[in-house]
Amino acid sequence: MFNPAAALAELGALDRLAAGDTAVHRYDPRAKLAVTLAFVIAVASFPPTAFAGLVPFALFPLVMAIAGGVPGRYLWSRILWVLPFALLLGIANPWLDRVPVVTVGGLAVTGGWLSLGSIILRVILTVSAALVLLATTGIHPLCRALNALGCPRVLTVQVLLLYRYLFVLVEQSARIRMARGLRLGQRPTLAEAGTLLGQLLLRAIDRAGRIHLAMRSRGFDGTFRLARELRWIRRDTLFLCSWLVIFIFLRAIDWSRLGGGIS
Amino acid sequence: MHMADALVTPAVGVAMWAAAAVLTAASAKKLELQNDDRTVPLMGVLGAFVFAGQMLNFSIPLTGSSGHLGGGLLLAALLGPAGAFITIASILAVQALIFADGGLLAWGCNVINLGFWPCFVAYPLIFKPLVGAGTSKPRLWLASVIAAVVGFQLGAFSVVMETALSGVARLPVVPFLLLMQPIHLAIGLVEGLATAAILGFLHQARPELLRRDAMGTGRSLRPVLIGLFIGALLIGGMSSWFASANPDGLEWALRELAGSGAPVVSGRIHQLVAGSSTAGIIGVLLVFEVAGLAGLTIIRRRRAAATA
Repeated sequence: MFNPAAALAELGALDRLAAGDTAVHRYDPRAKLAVTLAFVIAVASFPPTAFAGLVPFALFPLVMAIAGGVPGRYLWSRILWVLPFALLLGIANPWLDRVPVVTVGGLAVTGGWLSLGSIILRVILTVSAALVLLATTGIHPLCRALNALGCPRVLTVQVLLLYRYLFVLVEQSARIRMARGLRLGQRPTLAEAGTLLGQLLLRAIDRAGRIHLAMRSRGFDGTFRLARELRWIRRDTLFLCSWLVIFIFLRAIDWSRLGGGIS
Repeated sequence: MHMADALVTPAVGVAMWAAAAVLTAASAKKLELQNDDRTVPLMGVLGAFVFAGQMLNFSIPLTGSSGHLGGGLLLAALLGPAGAFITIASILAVQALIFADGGLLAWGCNVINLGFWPCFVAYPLIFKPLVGAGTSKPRLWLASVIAAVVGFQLGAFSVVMETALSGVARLPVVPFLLLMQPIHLAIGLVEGLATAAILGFLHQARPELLRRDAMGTGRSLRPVLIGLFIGALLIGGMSSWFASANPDGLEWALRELAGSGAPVVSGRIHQLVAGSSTAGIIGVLLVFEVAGLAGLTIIRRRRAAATA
């Protein structure tokens, strides 16, 4: 069920991490976004049974997480949360594909098991890359970067508003829960839950309208301004180029020749 | 749970990104033209609401799986197709970035599956015509359920297509379809009921929130047409990949009667193009041209007759 306190803590944690000031945080968000997208595309471009070739790609989220001060425990908890769903979709692979592809220490590994392992690896890689991106960049600079890359302003403003209104909504729901809990104590019935939900929606809409009016009367015109303007310096070009070169290099190597047969 | 990056190949991912980008740009344009001040906070808060709603999983009996609400139809009824599409796109973006639910590469796929079908197909083509003036409760419930079910069936179908085309999860198409479609039938039913309940509640409590645009005034069909055209191209291009090699009814009958199958055409163009994606795409373009010309001719004739 929807747990307001946990959701708020979750959102707040990412906000706090993004407010840090490490070397990774100082890179231009456009560079970080481009590198992360290149990473995801490189990982996704592997054939379905690739496994060993994917492992070196863990270098990217690892380096970024360590240099950016993202706690490993936080990353792991998010990954573990997502893994069951990935498992669910790949779990049929070992039954569907029983052609042995490679032999490891006398044990024949079928394509099905390889592709299941590949799916799990891909999930771990892409999820950690996305989380590290947000934890070292913050949603405001990221939306500025998206605008710079051509994303329509309507969408990025909507993302930012959605992000902020999530906090509003969670606060409202916590308040309603507490008020009801103080008066009645036991869990709500389904009919009550429906009424409460309706109340929540109406209150949230009203509050959002008031917030928007306040923003408009303070001069909000649809553009969010950052404290630090985006400036692309040579260090950002170096960052972008070196990671792109690394990805291309890792992707192009034929690992099966080096690794002794595991593709 | 939305589609993850692990399930799509760059080809499919980028193609769907392109489709989603085109629709997003068109919707953004439409919203800017409308310039309705009320819509902005509404999009934000409804987005948050649907976001929270999507976190609620309800278990579907007898299947051992669970589903969650999509919210596309509800958003379309309250914000219009363009606003609803942008809101869904933003919800999926936030989910992908912050909650790692749905990948960055798969964002385009998820936007099309959860945004395009409910906002640009189910809402304008099914919900609006059925619900009419919106004052009759039974019609509201009927329209919601049918529109939601159709939207979810189309969405589930596109998930299967995208997964099959990527080939990372080696699920054979037909069993996957037979698994996905019935489950999403149940989810669509629940979604339709929930949508109707919420819309009914808002109609009583805040009727001014419900979209008042009358049928046909200022509502542009272009995003729908663009999306349908892209969809037709994709289907035309890709369905040949799944075409069965077995003889169809006519060829089978010919074989039984005459001892040989369908007549073989020896022209070079036919050999180059036959049975391939090119054929499918050329076919779609031809149909588009012919249907478009026919439609234009009919409209022109009607206008001429009206003014005459």
